Amino acid sequence: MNASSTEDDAAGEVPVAPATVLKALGVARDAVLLGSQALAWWVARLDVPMHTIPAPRAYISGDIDFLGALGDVERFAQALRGEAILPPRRAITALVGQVRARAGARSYFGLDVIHRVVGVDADRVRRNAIEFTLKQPAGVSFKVIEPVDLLLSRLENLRQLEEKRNAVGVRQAELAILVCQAYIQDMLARDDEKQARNAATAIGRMAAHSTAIQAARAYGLEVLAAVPAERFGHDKFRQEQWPRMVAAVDKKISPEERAAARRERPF
Amino acid sequence: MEAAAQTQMRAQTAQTLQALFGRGRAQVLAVLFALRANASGEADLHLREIARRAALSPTAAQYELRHLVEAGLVQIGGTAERPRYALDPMHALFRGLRQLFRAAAGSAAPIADDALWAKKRARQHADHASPDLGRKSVFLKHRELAQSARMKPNERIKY
Repeated sequence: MNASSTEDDAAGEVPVAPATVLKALGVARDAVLLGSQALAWWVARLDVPMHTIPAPRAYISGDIDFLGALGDVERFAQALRGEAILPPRRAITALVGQVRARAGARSYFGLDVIHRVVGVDADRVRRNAIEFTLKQPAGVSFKVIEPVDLLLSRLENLRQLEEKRNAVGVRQAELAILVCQAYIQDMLARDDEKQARNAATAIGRMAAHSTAIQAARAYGLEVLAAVPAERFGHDKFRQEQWPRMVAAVDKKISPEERAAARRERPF
Repeated sequence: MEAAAQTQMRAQTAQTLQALFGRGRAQVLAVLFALRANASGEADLHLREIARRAALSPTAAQYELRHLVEAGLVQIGGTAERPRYALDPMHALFRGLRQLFRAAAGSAAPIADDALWAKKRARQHADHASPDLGRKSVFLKHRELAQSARMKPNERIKY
């Protein structure tokens, strides 16, 4: 490792300034914002009440991740006047590249571009991503991972990544459940019940899948809480589909077992 | 030098190395030189890990390693049941090759996957310990950014 990067490592990474984030978003194009910052985006966008999560402030991290390709790394590096750092060409890694740029005499900020999302098909993430255009500065458009995909990625993180099986991983999954709930409520408020039903149905399937059942058993996570069933106007959904979703989960893990898991949760 | 030009130069160097050594051997060497450059403290690797990082089958990696051992560029350590492989820094071509492989991987240290993610997790833990929401996310500090943004309906959503 060269001398300057050793110094950087010692100095540590600093939070990214708003202007820098806006610069990155301004050149993001088809790269999709992921991870902690996507969660933060949706929490802010949908005004999700974070106080319902114990000690919420401890569970968002400042790193910026995008789903993208090599061209995105180069574009981000140019826009941020940073250095593009690439893994060895044939390395087996989710990382496409990192952008590191100076943020002071002894500090830097970093942005990672990855090409896959744990447990979620990357093409699905790209297809489902939601595009936003900022009001200020005008004309800045970028894509953010869709909340249902975000929830799925948080649950898959818990299942597949040992380093995520901790309070941070569990709280982020809980936050993603709240984000989905607010997302569906937002769609219902915009009279987009069809899309809301699609999202709710996907969450119902997810809740009965072994990944979510494992999360319910280990951490008392209630994925179905992401569906505000009582808000749906569609009778068939409320009276037939929703009870079927609940029954499918109950069949795999009873309400008593879930309540016990919540009481005894390790984090 | 511009980042794009640097990236192009690295790509050319990597291609040249593959043309000179063959893809498999170049990749095994890249893994071993990256190992010496990263911050993980690893000095050697066992066969399967080399194969995994080089994106080769264990048989192919073993074939390449055998030739590199015969040439004296790679040494075998560990145990007979579980040999570990490392570059020999005393080999006459070690320094020259290291320079070439570093040029292919970039001017900074090549990123070994494990070391990269370990660093990332360390940064995340530092963030989690901070009570300052604004430090963690511009979006949480300036919520108006997200709240005033225009959302484009996505008709292609399919779960």
